Amino acid sequence: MGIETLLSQVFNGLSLSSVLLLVGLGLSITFGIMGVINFAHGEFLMVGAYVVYVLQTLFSKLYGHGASGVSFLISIPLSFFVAAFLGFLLEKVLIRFLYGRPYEGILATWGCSLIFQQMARNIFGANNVDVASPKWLAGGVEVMPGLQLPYNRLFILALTTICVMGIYFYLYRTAQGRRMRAVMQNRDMSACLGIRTRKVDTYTFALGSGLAGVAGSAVSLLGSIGPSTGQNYIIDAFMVVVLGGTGRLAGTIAGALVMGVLNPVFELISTSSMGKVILFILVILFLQGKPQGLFSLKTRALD
Amino acid sequence: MDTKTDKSAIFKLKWFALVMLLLALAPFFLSDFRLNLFGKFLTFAIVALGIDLIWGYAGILSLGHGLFFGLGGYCMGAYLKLQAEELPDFMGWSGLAELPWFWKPFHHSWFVLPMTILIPILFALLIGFPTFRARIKGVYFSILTQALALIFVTLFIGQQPYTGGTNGITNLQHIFGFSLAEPATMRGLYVITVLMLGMAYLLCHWLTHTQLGKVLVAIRDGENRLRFLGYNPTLFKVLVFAISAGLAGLAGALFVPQVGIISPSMMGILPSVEMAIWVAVGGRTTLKGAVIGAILVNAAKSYFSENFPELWLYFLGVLFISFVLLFPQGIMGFLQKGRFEWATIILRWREKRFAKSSSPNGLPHKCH
Amino acid sequence: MAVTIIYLEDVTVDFNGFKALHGVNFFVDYGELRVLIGPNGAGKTTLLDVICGWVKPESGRVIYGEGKDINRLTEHKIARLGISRKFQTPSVFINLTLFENTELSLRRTEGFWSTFSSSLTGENRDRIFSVLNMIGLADKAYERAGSLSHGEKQWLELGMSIVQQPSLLLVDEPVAGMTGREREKTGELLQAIAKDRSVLIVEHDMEFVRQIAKKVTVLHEGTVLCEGSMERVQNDPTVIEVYWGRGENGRREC
Repeated sequence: MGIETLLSQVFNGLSLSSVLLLVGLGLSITFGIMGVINFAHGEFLMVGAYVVYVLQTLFSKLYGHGASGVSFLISIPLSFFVAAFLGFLLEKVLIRFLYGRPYEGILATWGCSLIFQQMARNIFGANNVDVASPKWLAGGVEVMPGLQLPYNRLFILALTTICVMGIYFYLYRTAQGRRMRAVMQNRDMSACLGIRTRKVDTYTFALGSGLAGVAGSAVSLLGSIGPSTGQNYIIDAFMVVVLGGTGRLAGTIAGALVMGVLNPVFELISTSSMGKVILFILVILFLQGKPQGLFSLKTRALD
Repeated sequence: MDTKTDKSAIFKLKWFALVMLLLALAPFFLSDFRLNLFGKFLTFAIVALGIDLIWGYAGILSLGHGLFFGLGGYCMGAYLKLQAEELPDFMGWSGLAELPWFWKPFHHSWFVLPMTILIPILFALLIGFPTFRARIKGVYFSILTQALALIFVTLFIGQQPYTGGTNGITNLQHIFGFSLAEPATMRGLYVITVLMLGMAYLLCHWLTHTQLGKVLVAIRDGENRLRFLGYNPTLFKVLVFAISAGLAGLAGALFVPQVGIISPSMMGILPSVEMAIWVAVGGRTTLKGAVIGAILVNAAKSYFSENFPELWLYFLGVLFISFVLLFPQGIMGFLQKGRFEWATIILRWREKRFAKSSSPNGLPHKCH
Repeated sequence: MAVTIIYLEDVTVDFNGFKALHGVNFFVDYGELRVLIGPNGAGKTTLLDVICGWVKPESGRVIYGEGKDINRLTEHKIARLGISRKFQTPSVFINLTLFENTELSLRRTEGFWSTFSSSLTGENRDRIFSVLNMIGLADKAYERAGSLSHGEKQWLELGMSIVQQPSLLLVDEPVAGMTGREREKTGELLQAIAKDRSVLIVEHDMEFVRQIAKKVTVLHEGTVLCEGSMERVQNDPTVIEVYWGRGENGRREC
């Protein structure tokens, strides 16, 4: 095994990290703010991926096959808004009844996830569909002999960086982001100070869902997509939340880096199925020292 | 107080005996096909008992019980496979010429039968001890157990030469020399399942009626408070996790001969979460509820997959959502609440009648 | 001369850069009733947390009884040594009855295997009822603890502590949120409890402190400021500056 192989696995891992980060951010924010882990979160990723597919099909019918480059650029924001809108609806009709009831939240959102997947099967068929990568993302940069960094993976890294910077700006530099953090830290106090916590909840949930949608558009660059696309990423994204702790941007980023990079690296040094076992054992061992996640604060509350 | 609780315990056990009798008589009423199906449901009821113990009582939601069910099932599957074939067919296909060493003990029933329970317990201890010791709880624990189920599915699929891969261990035809195609064997397996369910029920009934039941409820309601009374919650959580894993393993072992196959799809994430919903539908913290929930949900499942296979997942999804939102206490909780409401309605009605009959002018009495 | 039951030696606790306790030296004698006072954020609750093992100090030692270092022990092991903790917010098990709550507490003292039996000896039943009588809740023995009022929950929690016969009882703000009559009853209860053991109480309510305290320790910004009788503490110039200076009646919970 050459160093190129390892480096290229690490690089592939970074694009996986990017996807996990976008998905994990939404999970972690919504868990932090409303105490509900959304098990249908992966399906927002799936929705985002299908948005790319639908738009591409539409464009190639209207303008011929050359239009996939343009349609992809349009579909990124569209994925965000479609997924965010669905998240908005889901919060309005279901999630708000589940605040502070994590187990019930798991079961109910899991039910949603089943329904979404079955709907995707009925609409798009049970088989995976292919999304053609735009031409301008074909090829890659050759950094050293035997190590090529594909443009589409570089694009995913860039996309994620922009999204994370956007989220950072939103959370720490805007009034609405400040309200969101306030609700996350102390809901009752925020309500007393006149923050409309219900509204903050809804928008937070929509934002998190939208991020998963963007992740979906990124995933469409990596391979074919199908009704279970979301399921392929969601468990790793959960592990990101476990590792990173809730409601802390830095923790989620670190967790996503660890899960994304170590996954392909362990698969390389052992078999693909044993790699997952090793990673899981490492996570458990790590949690022995830091049960609250990577960037936890000490608390003295009893529960 | 004491005599009252004793009385109600005997009363409950009378009901238990009656239900057991009815279950044991089912072979006389049901067709062979339905009986086989029902036998399967009863194995699921054993899993549900274990999940009720850990989730309903101790408040720990495991989303990885499919793994324990599967481990028990694979043990039994390996045994049945070796009864029929010197070298399992899938090993031959993968180019293995000889039985791997860890398969060899599965020739013997004295080894396999305890292992169907002990191996799941061992895994539960291995997972439970470090996670509970690190005070990982709530959804974090649920997520870890779910990841665990996924990992084992990947592992079992990946290790095709040793596990049979995606197909699992198939084509199981004999148990202890009896053909699994014979209705008589099926009836025998059914009766054994009923007995095991009864024993599992009694075990859980006993556990929840000792002081342990109260310790588990205390863990659910205030684990950290319990520490300051001198209890070590880790110990009890690991214990109850192991017991419920053992029950799931037992169920898996009873399940496999009744269906003739065990594959990774029976131990993955979806079956694991379904197991939790059985208990949620029946009603947490009532053992009866867990059994009823497992039977009802699976009856609904087989009804849907026979008649409207496309709709099953929609139905399951709606079931998850509606029970959480509308009947968070499940069927048993709903019935109990219903009983209470009926009692108040009857009481009010009797009060009214009493008031009417005792005051001739139809007006209620006034105090003077 | 009295012997020390708990001794904190140069204890420092750091919450992400905030020093809740800063080199505290503190001890309580056998059979003593001690009250800890101090402004908000002085480190009073943290000091109790350190003794019962909930918070592990960055440096320093915690010595219990005849020189046993309990610094690194987990909470349940410390509890089994005879140190009982009552929290500020009532934390009883709301889905169990008062009897069951007390039984749960008592049965722990009989070891692990006692958990697997359902029978209760007559002697234990009497002990549970004598405690329930002491806290005045015997007539509610078979009600769910969730149905109790705030004050009653606090008493039940005290009862759960007493039934274990601890050598040292740590009590955090026992009368916060109580009415006048309830305060009085709590005060009597605590004094009765203190007859047979050491009790360490954190309290904000100065009137209540005057009612029960013999010896008072004042904490300020994570250090021991002053120690002595109520009278002495009240007349200490530094205490007056950091504490009494803020208001005529001292600080109260808002």
